[in-house]
Order: sequence, then structure tokens, then C-alpha cells
Amino acid sequence: MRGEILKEPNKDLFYIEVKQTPEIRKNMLETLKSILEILQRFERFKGIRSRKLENIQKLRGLLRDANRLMGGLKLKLPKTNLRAVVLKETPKQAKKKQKKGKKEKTVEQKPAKKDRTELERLEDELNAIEGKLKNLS
Amino acid sequence: MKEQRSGAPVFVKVDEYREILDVLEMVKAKIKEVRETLGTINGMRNEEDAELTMWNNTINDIEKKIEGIDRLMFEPEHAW
Repeated sequence: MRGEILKEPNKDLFYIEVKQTPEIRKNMLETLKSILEILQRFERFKGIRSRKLENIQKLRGLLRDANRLMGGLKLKLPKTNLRAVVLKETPKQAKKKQKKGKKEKTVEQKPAKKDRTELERLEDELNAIEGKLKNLS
Repeated sequence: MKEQRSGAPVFVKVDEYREILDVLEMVKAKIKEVRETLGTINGMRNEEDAELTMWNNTINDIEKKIEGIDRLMFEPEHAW
């Protein structure tokens, strides 16, 4: 009987009595109300999310500023190499090495710069700092 | 080449020292702001979580009501 609409061959319509109509009506209205409330809350949720994204952007800016300030601070401190460096080279060797190094650097650095993402740049910076920390300890 | 030992005294010019202190103050202020912003973001994340929990509860209610309607609608007493 479930949901069936019975029709006779002479096309007379059949009707089905629905029980407890007030309860059904009440349930329907309450469901509608709940759906509307969810939609309303969805708008609120969107607002929260956009404010959160704004704050995340703000946080990013603040961290960049802090990073810039720390970089400036590092520049203001004297450039001392607190670790003992005992490598001695003859002037000729040093010149040769410099020339070779320059050539290699120019060849290697150019394509790398183009492909580097912000994440990779930060990773490099972190590695450099970690290396320096290792040297200090 | 000169050799320097770790722990050797390092001197900074007085005016530069002041600048360093200023920069440090600025960094501290920035970090304070970062902490505040992080707190705000955390609060918002909690708000989002609360909203999602509410949605879940409301959807559960809706499901029950729809089931109720379904049950009542399709159990007819008389048909003619």
C-alpha cells in the first residue's frame, strides 16, 4: 500500500486517508524551521571563516615583519666568526677557487631561483640557521 | 688568518646598541601581536567547530522528523 496510487480502468481516482495530520504538519514545519536555521547559521559560518582567513593573512604579515626585523637585528650585530677557522690557502689557490666557484654559482643559481617557491625559500633559510646553530654548539 | 675562540668578547657601538634594543622591542611587540592574532584564530576555530556540531545535531533532528513523517504518511487507515 506504501505510496501506491491505485487507479481503476475507468480512471476513477482513489484517495488515501492520512492519519495524524496535525502531527505531520507540525513535523514538516519544524523541519522547515530547522533547515532555515541551518542556512542562517551557514551564513554566520561563512562570516567566521572569512574573518579567520583575514586573521591568518594578518598573522602571515606579522611573522614576515618579525622575520624582517630579526634579519635587520642580525645585520646590526657584529659579524664575528666565533668558531676557529684554521684553513690557510695560498693567494694563488684562493684566486683559482674563487674563479671556479663564481662560474659554478652562476650556472647553478640561475635556474634554481626561478623554480623556488616560498616554502622552499623558507626551508633553505631554516637549514642555514640550523647549520649556524650547529656550529655554535 | 686570525683565529677567534668561542666566548671571545664582542663589542657593539653605543648608538648601534640602542638601535638593537629598539629593534628587539619591535620584535617583542610583533610577537605579542602574533600571539593575540593566534588567540583570535583559535577562538574562531572553536566557533567553527561549535557551528559544525550544531549542524550535526540539527541534521539528526531533521532526520528523525522526516522519519516520523514518513512513518505517518505511509500507514494509511482507510482507502477508498
